[in-house]
Amino acid sequence: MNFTIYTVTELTRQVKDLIEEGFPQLWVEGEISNFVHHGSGHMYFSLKDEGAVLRAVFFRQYNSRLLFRPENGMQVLARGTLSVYEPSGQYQLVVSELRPSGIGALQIAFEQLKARLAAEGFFDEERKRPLPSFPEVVGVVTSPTGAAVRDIISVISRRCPPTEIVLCPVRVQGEGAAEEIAEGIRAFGLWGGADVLIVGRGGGSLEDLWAFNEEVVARAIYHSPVPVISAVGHQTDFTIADFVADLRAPTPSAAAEYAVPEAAELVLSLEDMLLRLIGVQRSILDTGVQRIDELERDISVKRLTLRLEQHQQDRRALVDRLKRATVSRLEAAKLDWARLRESLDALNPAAVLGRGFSIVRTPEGEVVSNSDQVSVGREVEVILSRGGLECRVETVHPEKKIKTIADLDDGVHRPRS
Amino acid sequence: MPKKKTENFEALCRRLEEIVQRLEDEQLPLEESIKLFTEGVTLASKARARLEEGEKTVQKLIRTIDQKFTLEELES
Repeated sequence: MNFTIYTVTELTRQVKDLIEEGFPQLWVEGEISNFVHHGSGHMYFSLKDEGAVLRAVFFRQYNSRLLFRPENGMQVLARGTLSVYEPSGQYQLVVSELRPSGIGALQIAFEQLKARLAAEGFFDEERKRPLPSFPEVVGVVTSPTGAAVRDIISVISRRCPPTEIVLCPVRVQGEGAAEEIAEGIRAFGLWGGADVLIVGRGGGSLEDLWAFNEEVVARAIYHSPVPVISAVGHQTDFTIADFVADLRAPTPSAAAEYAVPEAAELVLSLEDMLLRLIGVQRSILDTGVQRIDELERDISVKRLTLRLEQHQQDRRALVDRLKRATVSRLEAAKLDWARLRESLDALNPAAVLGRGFSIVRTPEGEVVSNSDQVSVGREVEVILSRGGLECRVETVHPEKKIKTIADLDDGVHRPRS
Repeated sequence: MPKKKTENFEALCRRLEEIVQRLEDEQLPLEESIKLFTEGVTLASKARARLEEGEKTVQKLIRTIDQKFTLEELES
């Protein structure tokens, strides 16, 4: 009988070759158990089902691309190769790719990230900012080709022509797209010229939209100083970016409609405002005019009263003056009258007679002032101050007379004739 | 930082609202009301002018070598 006697090493070596050659790259489905994420970055776990257990190792350089966190109990699909680790005599699956089986890795990753960010407050309503009511500049982070950017530009141009559009062109799917999108959002934040951002892309599958589910994009939106409107895919697609954004739009066109107001409407409300302005000013002016009228009436009445009073005052003054004038005239008249009487008295023949003169009258009544008027033997009447005489002319002296001032004058100015 | 329009449209509208409100609610002296009215009309016409501005060209945000930003015309 010939037995081959192997050494342990030889046997193990042969088993290793057999296994490793017999099982090139394969997929295994099983449940994760005894999962350990070592400090070195390597993951160690077992895949099991009802009948057996398979040890597995997932090295760091492969597992870093994992979209989800493996947990005990998870059903997964693992891709890898079998290898025998001679020092321990163990065979294990060296995993190069791990996916949740059933639901899909992306879905699980989505749920996990969503839960984590929600816990950090990324989706809180309180932190969502209001959008500017009239953005001067809209920043857009999307692909430079495709319907999304065209729709956004067309809607904004139609709705509100004065608003400027600035695009930061990025890839919206594939390797590195998430980083580009995040970078675009950050760039707008640093530039500071945009009043609102639209971040998004057109429709696609979950894989196509995946960039907008990545953490780096969520963080960029969360930290963006400019409000963000997300517009990813179609109506029913919800990405992490949609939850973090200040506003979610179902489509890029809708995002543009949310972003800018309709200029035509604004013109109408401006006109409205102008009408209100004119209206209120008119009523203020009317009130003012009314007051002025009232004041004027007030003033007229006052003036009238004033004039009336003035008149009355003047009248009183005049009456006083009249009274005084009358009194003094009366006094003056009295004085005149007294003087007149005096003069009259002086001229009164009776007074003259009182002074010693007499009136000589002929019996006929003619007053004799000239010696020619009578002749010797004539009878004359002599009227004295008291009593009278009946006389007969004895002698007539034609030249005898009393000297008057005129005579004195004559004596001075005329030469003696 | 890019040059911002000196008359921000939102600010124009807010000030206009404020003026109309003040004129409607407060008992302002005539001179004051005329001053505000004049300002209001000016604001309204400025805002109107902004709204009637024509379509703008779309621009691209570029980061230059020295980490500054600039805008470029976008050819679509």
